[in-house]
Amino acid sequence: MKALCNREGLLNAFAMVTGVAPTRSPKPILQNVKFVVDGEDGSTLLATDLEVGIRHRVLGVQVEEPGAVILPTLKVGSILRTSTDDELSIETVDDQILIRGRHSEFKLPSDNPEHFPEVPDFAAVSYHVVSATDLRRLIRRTSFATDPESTRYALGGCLIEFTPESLTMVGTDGRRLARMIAPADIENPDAAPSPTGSPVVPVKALKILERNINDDDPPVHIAIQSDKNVLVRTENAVIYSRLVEGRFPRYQDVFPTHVENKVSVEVGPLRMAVEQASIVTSEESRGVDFNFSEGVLRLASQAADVGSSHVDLPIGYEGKPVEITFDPRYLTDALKTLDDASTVHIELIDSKNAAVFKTDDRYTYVVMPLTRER
Amino acid sequence: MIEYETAVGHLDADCFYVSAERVRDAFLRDKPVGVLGNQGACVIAKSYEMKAAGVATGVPIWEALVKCPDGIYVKRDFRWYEVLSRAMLELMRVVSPQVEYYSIDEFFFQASVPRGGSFQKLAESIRDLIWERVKVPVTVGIARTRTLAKLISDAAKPFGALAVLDREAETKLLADRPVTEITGIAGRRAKRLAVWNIATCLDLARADRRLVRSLLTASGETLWWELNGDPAQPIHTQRPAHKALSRGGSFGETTDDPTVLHAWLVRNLERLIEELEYHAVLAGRLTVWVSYKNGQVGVGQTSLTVPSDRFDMLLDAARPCLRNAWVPRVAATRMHLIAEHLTPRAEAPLGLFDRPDPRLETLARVKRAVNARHGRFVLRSAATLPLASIYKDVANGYDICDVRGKICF
Repeated sequence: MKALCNREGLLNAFAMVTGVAPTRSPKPILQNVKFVVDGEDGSTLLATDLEVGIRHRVLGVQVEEPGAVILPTLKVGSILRTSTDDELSIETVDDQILIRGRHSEFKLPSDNPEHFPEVPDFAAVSYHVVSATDLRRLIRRTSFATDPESTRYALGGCLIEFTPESLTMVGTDGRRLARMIAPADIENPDAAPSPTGSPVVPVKALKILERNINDDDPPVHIAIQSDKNVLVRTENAVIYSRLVEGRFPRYQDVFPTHVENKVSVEVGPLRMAVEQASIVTSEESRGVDFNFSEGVLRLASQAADVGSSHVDLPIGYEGKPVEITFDPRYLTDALKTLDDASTVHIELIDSKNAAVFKTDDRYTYVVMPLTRER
Repeated sequence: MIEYETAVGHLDADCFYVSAERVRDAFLRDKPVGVLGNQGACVIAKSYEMKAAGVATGVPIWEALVKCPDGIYVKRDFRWYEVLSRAMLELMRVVSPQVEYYSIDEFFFQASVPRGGSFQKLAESIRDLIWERVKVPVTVGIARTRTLAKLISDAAKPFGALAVLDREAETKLLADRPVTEITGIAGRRAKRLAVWNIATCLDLARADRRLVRSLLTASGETLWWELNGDPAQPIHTQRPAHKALSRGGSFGETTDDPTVLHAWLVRNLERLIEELEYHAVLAGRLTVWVSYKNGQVGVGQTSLTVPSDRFDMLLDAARPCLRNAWVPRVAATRMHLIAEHLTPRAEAPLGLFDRPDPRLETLARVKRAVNARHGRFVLRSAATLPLASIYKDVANGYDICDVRGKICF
């Protein structure tokens, strides 16, 4: 294998795939990245931890001799970052990698590329198409609400639901739930059966996917394979992931069937007020009391040895007074993902039932309150 | 108005478990006595007479019997030790406005005397008071800081009383004691200090503060201030809230039987729930830790969808943890069940999917009430049946960790 690589092109691709390679693994070859150079099909970087895999296109590679090489992640990453060359030559010589710039040369040991596990490519004929902007937003607004440690339910990722016109993503940790619906098209609907069951994509795969797409990228293709894997094709990468095993809870039941009180609030001021109110909380006393009354939302907190506070936020509330206690982190987690200038519609019943936060772009966030026995 | 001078005192009971046994059985006085723990497998405390015969703390009973065949070996009884411990604590609370219940046999306290008074006399009076009222021999040290007070009481054992506030005497004491006598400095930390020729407490006190911080981090710097007479560790009159609660320990007899391991899991869980209930907190995360005879360690961890102290919820969470921690066909020696992410019961998050089940809440209340009235573990899970002999032995009915309110284990 021998190729002349544009350093920036290789560095960009390298940065995208190294997040997948585990830092420690019983199979040491997985701690590396595989570089496949091919003049006809294009050159690709591959990484996998056997749960999640990525194939990323590398731009600016002049192939002199096609082939593959295993690149040690840390060493090659450092070489690419510290080099000042525009181009670097990479070749394999007697089981070693030779990386050469104009004034530098590195010889590194290398594994046999044939020992690197196969990373599946996107071969689906039927798949869903969603805009890159929407997919980024879906991930950002739902993945924070998950719980990778849960064993009772499959909460270590986001549930994906497809319809012919939309894609829904749901994340929950059992105490709060985030759901967003975005428009999506289906390509060749008759070519493959629709996915059954509840595909839950692990958070790690979602984070890698989020990093690999930009808002102005072309639409992204998503396919569920055999109800076990998900494959996503972006402009420059194919990301593969096994789905989270286990049962996702029946999330549809958590949305209250009736609403007693409603109010619309601008996101920015609400987020600031919640952050302020959470200053005077502690591990032993995390709750912030949200008192909704006519024209004002008062957030009050009190923690032994820390102090007490109240923050007033003028709002257009006209319903009956409602007092409800939240863990403020649950609210800021969601509010941080929204545009400060946008409006959130809050729906309340009482201090014991879930509160619902909705936006105009089909985002719904359900939070259970804390008990109030203080 | 009387002006007072204050210092820090440390009271340490002399071979406490043995002394406690002697309080209720005078026959044991002046004889070599060993107290057995871990289902009678090893010596967890010994009298000075037994120490002189070469028996160290932690040795198996069969080794102790060789070294001290005439010794009298008794099973531990933490309920009794706690009675005496609390009696000492109450006396200390009369003597001092600030007392820290550091461990079952150690207290730190604020020592005060009228200006010009004698701290030495105060130390002696406290020692004598405890002996007179509780009949447990103790040693009392008084100094400018906690670390110094503890070093002094260690130096004055047994049945000693010593106040060292004079700088010269303090320097001499520090020079005479190896740095490993300071609580918190042993093994690796001592080796790191040895490279810089820091061998005694005085070497550490005289070392550059920044060097000490770089070698031993902020906790080491705290010790440096303390050794130099500047109090950096307050007296905690109340135990700070627990970050984690844990129950478990050695099995005594090793086992590779999954049914017995499960029984231990359930026993530890029932004990952990008692603790969660006492502290009015709910567990948000559960870890099962198992160690094996071949040196392996297995760990399983999970978070709970909703923090809980309910038996069924926690057992559902703990079972897969045990599966992860289990090494088949290898004898396990000990298990710990650890609850973390503790949430006060008074402001627990409600669950979206698992709503409180009134029937199971009632069941938990009934179990609590029956055991409170008729005795601990009278009503317990049938899964613990393989451990019938453990429950039968009253020495296993109460453990050192069941003595609440202590700062230290």
